[in-house]
Amino acid sequence: MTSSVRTRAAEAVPRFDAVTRVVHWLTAADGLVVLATASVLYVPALSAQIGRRATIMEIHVVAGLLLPAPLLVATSIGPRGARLARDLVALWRWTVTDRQWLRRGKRAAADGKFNGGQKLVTALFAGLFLMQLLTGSVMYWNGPFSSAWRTGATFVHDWVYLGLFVVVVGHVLKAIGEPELLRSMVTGAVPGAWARRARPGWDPEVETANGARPLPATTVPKGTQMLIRLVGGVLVSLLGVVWILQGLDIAKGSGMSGEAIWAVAGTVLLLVGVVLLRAANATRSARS
Amino acid sequence: VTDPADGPAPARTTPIGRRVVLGSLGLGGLGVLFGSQAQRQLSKAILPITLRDPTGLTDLLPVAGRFRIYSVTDTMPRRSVADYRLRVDGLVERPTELSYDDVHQRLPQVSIRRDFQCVTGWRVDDVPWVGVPLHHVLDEVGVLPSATRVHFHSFDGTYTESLSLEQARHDDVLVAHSLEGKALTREHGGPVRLYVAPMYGYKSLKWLDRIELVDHLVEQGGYWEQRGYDLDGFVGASNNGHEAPIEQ
Repeated sequence: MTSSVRTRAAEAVPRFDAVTRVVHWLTAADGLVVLATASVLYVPALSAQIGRRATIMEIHVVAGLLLPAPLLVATSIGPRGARLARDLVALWRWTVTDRQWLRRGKRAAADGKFNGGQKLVTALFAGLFLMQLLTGSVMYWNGPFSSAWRTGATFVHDWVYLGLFVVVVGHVLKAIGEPELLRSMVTGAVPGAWARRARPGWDPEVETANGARPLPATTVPKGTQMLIRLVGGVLVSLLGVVWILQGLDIAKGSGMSGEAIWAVAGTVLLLVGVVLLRAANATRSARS
Repeated sequence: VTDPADGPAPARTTPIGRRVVLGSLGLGGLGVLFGSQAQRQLSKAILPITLRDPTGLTDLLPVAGRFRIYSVTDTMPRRSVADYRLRVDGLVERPTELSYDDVHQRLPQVSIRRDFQCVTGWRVDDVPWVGVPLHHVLDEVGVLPSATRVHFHSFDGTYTESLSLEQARHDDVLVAHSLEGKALTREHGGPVRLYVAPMYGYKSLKWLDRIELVDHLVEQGGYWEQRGYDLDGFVGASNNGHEAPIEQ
């Protein structure tokens, strides 16, 4: 059994499955929409050139809120998203080698699937996204907040926008600088030689394991998983319903009322919410 | 359940990812609470650099003192000073067309300095404006007793705003032609725009084309009001804010 696997591994070993790659590129495309609309809203020369402020602002808010949707759906669809979930757990925790990789610039080969830089950029994307979600909500649903809070939120939102620009450019330059990795996000595989040199601690066989070698379970506790899906599902569904009502002009008095795009966005959101809730239910059944 | 092939035992790893994420959230929260002051300090610190920067790139930094350019249509309208006419009509005794010279020279001028505050949160401190108090324009045309509101039209063809007659007669509501010591540029709504000092930025209609006296609420009050913003946009006291309105 092993000989055939090893022969194939010599040329190309699997790194990312189809679900992971689809999530990556959907998120990247949506992220580009968010950054492009942000630039139109922020850079005076672009604002003057393109105008249409109300429309651009709505696209920016919808695209921004949808950013985590591919990831949430993929990690909630059961076994098919399990590899992506496993990668996320691996990215979350840092080994001694990762910390040295980052702090001392000691660039020893990573002892797992990802190195310190990859873990850092993932954490930055997650952290900066949450900052934008928090401050963007204060700016958009500004009703309950004082002018000082709104000003503070705008201040943070603007600086993090510049920060995100730097992180995205860095991420793209790094990917171009290591073509094996960039290609793996397209084809799903890396050359065996690269894997042995750059990721000696990573065993590519777990990426294909199916049956003969069961996929190791993720280390996210089931209870936490269920809670995230339940809370996420309820919030996302509620927001979806509100948007549909506003889009159909049943709920009035908002800038979104009577705009058809919100009914469409609300329907997408409601579907995401239902998937999350079903997944939460499945997790709960699996526990009991 | 951990597989031996899963990498080193969890005891040897650190949840740096979690720290980065929680740290960002904390920083974001602090920023909302104290960002307003931080921005003011930062702007002061950075001012010497921006003043000497020939490229203008530092203008892109998120500090106080920079206007965002809002335009609701696809292209910003353009009108020269020579072609500019301000129509004042509706429920008035003498419907009139004012020229740029009327607004700039003939009618009484005032200068005021105020903070410019956008409803979404960006602000520019201490902005000097020059213009004609709107009540002088209203007196010039003679408002009929039946009029209750003032409706403003922009020559971009889309943007509209309105004030109650009482609000329109405030001393700090201007038909403005100068901002920060310079003639109003096209980006800022020139050659002539409305400046409603006590209210959020959206009430200060850009590219002022026509002032119409009416006896009822037109188009729910204006462009942004149709999109959910308050009709009476006093800074701090509207759009669900509960601070006292800024007094002069």
